Amino acid sequence: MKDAKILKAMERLREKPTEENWEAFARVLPKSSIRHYKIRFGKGKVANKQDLRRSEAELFNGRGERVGKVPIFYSGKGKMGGATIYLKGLSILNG
Amino acid sequence: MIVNRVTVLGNKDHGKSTLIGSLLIETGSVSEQRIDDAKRTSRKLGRRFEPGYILDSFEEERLNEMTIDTTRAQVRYKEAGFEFIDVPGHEELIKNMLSGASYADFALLLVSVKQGEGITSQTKRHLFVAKMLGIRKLVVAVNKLDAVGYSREAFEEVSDGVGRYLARIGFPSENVRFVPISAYNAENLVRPSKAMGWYRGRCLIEVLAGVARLAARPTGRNTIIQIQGVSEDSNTAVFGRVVSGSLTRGSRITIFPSGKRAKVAGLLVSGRSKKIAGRGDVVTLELDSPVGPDIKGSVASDSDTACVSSSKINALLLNTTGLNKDASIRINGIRVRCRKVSVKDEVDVSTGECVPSDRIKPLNAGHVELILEEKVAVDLFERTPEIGRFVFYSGKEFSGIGIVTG
Amino acid sequence: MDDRMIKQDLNKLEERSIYVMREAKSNFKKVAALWSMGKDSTTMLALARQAFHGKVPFPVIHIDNGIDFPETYEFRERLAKKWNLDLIVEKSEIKPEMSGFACCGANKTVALRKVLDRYGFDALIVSIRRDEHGIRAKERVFSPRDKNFKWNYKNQVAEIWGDYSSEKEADGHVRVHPLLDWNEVDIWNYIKREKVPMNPLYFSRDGYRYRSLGCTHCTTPVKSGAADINHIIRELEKTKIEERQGRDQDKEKAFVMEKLRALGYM
Repeated sequence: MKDAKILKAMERLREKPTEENWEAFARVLPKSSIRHYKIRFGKGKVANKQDLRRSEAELFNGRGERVGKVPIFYSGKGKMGGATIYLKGLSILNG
Repeated sequence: MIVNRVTVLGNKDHGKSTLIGSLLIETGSVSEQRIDDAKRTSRKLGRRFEPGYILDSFEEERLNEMTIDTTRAQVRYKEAGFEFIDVPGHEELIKNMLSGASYADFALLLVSVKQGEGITSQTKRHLFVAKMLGIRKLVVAVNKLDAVGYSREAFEEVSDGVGRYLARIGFPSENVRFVPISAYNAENLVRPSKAMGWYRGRCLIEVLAGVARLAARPTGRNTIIQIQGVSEDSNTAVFGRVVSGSLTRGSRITIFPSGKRAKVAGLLVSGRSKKIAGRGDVVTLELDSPVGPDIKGSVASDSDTACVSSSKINALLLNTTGLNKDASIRINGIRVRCRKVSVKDEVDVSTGECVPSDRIKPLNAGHVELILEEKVAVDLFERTPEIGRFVFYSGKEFSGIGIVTG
Repeated sequence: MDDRMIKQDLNKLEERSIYVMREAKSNFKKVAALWSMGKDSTTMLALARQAFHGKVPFPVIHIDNGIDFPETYEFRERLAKKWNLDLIVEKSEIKPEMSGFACCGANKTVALRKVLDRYGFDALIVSIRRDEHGIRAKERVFSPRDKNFKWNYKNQVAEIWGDYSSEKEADGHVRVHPLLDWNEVDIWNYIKREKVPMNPLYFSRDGYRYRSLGCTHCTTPVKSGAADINHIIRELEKTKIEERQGRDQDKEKAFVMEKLRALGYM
């Protein structure tokens, strides 16, 4: 299946969003069917934009179908930061 | 759209912000929303709405002391725009009147028609500075006519008094126009006033538009380019601005004060290749020989006599903080130290009186002779104001401004 | 300023901006510019190329909080390559132990200070415009800051006769604002005239577009069908900001203020 690799990479990111895992994800992203993203700010009653850990990027293919989701931060070695740069090449899905 | 910059002089409580606010409203230069905001704010503060509130109608900004820039209110009227530059303080006046490549050639003086509300000494000082810096024409708006029942006699009495004072300090009557108004009631601002049927002149904005047209600077003077510096990329490419006249590609120029001559092999205006550059254009001169970085502050011209290279200047100086040692001037964009400053006389700016003196009190003016540490390119302020004026420093502190008289 | 949509003379605006940038370059030893890949700072870079033989002769700094739009990162890379920019990316650090993870505002100042210290820049070109909400009325074209980014505007003289004072405190830097007189509609007219490359997010997709671009967490799109520049300009000229949907206006205003706070303007 075309997206086997990317789905695996996404699972690893959800488990451990280290920079290495992000780089691996970015390597297989262009070959996948994913074309679009949408940022969601956590779940529940209060969606908190301030907490990166509760935000995620939902990923969609060219037909607008949802493929899966990933976090939007990286962490590891005591550091943490935003990781949307790894979604470079995708375009936002509005509406 | 041509934007005329008008310096507004006058005492604080003679109604400057009311006037500007009213003009904004009457000419439709401000949105309904803004007016509503201002009305709401004044209701909240328990005050009656006043056009001047337009100028800081955003409550949040007012609370945070971030008022709308009252110094840049832009009023649109027919094809012209007016930018009213309010001048609350002395230093504000100097800065606002002088900033920008083009400065207003005329000013609006606001006086009150009410008895006992004469012109303050600060306003007198402002008028002196205005005159010193080349303002030739004045429009005098006589305000608060509503408080005297729109009386013609009151208007004429004040106009005569003010006119006499103005003539004494160098604004002859042919260069002054008087207009009766009520800024608060928007009478005679943008439309003729029924309440003042005896007034035969035009309304304020029309008078301003007329004077603006007349006050345009004369063109066709010497070609003068102020040089900003040399390009990092190429030591034959010089950046500058044309302050008067025009320059054609292929011309030969002389650079002052060095006296160096060169040919303008290439000419760029705002980065684009052109054959001619005119007044106000920001240029790149591609010369046929290299120049050094010390060219900053120089002046170029296609005429040998357009200006002078000198280290001795006679000037009329307006002193703000006091002259002391370590004097320097900033002219043509560079700082030059003064080896010697000799004061010849002192001028009382509120009366115009001139007495011999060897010092100038703060806030007064005087004629001085400056000996500079190096030669600079300079011309009389009367002839080419852009290279005939300078800022004066005592050490690091701004100390005043000067115009070259000889 | 009330009417953002007053169209001004583009040539005069361009002239003054070029003059200001050349003045900055010749008065200061180490000049750099802030770039957010937005319409204003990208226009500033286009103006720099007009001023300096088609080059941008100073480093361009992006204070990166890591959660910009992917389109923005892609645009950054593309334009940096095309225009051969000397790009410095300084990541604003997010500390997990901070309560809540601030997005645009808080940490950018720290990152900016680090960059200024590391490289010793004494002048910083920032593309703010006077018609933006929250800009202090007295903001000047050349505006000195001390090392805490504080601005002592009561005690300075600048811009007398268009002559910009380059006096600054030790350890401080001078802010240079070449776009101060530009209105929003002027920026778009210039982009149109000069075909300045723009971030695609500005243009409508799926019925939405972004009027101002911050990071993914503080920027909301507006409903708009404006898919190209002419549309955008028409839209701007028709609707004055106060007349737009209240929600969008508040959000945009809040965003702009946050941006300004981050850069030390408020």
